[in-house]
Amino acid sequence: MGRKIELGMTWAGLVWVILFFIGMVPLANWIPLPSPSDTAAEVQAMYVDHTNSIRAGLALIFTGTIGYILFSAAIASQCRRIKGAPTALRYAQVGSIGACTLLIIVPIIIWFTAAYRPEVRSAESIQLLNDLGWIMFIVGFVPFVAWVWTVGLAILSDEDADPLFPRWAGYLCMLLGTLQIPPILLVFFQTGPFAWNGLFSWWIPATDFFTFFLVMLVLTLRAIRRTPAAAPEAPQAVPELAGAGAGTGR
Amino acid sequence: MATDAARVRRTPGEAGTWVFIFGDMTVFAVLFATYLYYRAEDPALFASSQQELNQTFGAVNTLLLLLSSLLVVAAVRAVRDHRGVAAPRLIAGAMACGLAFSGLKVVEYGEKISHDQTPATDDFFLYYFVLTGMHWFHLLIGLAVLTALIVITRKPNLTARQVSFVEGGACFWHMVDLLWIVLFPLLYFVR
Repeated sequence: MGRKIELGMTWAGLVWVILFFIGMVPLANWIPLPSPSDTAAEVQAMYVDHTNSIRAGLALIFTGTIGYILFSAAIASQCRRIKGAPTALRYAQVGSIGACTLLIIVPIIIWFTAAYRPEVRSAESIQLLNDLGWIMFIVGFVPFVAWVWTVGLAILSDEDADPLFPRWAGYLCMLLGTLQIPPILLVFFQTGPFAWNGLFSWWIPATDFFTFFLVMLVLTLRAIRRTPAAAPEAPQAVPELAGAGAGTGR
Repeated sequence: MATDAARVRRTPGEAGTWVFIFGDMTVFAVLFATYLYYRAEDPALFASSQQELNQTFGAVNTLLLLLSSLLVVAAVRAVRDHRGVAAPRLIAGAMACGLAFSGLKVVEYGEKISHDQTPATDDFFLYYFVLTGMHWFHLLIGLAVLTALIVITRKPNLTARQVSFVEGGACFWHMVDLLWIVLFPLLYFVR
């Protein structure tokens, strides 16, 4: 039963990704992202003209973020099974998962506020909320980098000859974590490839983030299914290996 | 015989290292393309701002990185030939080159900023600082990797995985060198 719950928690990550795309693309219509160089009046008009589709899209992502928490906990749980992985890496993961979750839901709450009564507020205050939401959402990479790097380091610390996660995935995590850092440049720019809607602040880090999600989804499902499933297939080995089998199952 | 066959097929370091290296180089390639795209938008401005760069800094830094790569190659050879004592010294030499590169970078940035040439000046200086800054960030990671390699190569006997970590780390350092070799003409010379 425990294993089924862990598999379900891993799949919850995919649910989050799907809800994110439905919320962002057809509903909020925020892909490509609203430009940081839009005037205050343009930003207000976007919230006034699409108030309910923005609210609905954000509500989907907001609620779906429960799936994000479950998914990242499932990865942390598998990292516990890696032979030789230091406990500190798991602490860093668990801590950063909490911060990551806030950096997804707090910007959404700020956008909720912008979309709450956009027609009666001044254009400047809507623009302020919009800026705050986007800047927090995209520059908030700090716990994400810590999360992805510590997953990568845990994978690379595997001492088993047949590692739980493939070693290439560890190196991939190190790369994917690193590519989240360039958005720091967005604080300097309102246009071009380093602005919050630009190639290096949005498109590459976003692709990178969802690549991490999908790769870890597949590998975590595989890791959960691995050891415990092998035991029942070899009943003849049970009498002498019963103790060892119970040990690996836990 | 077996070793000959292995030598033909072998990639240096772990296969996974190359996931990192090629991924990183792809992003740099996109960054270079972005620079060339913006350069094509305003060739006159880029050409005139480029004149302000001091090519001596760039050239000396290129030589330093080439020398450091050579030292790293020698260190990897020393590890493979089990000449344990030489490797950490050679890597320390490579690190000294990397530190000298960093020192020159500080002087070069300082000189630019004191002449009021900052990322806010124009698009050329924006890309100059972003490209060299990202490269420098990689070089600093490389210095951390080389420090780890010194710690490892000091041990009398290395496991197969440690040898492949040494090779992978060396490849990362060569990548830092290679990126500079593309960056240097792109920023300082391309007309």
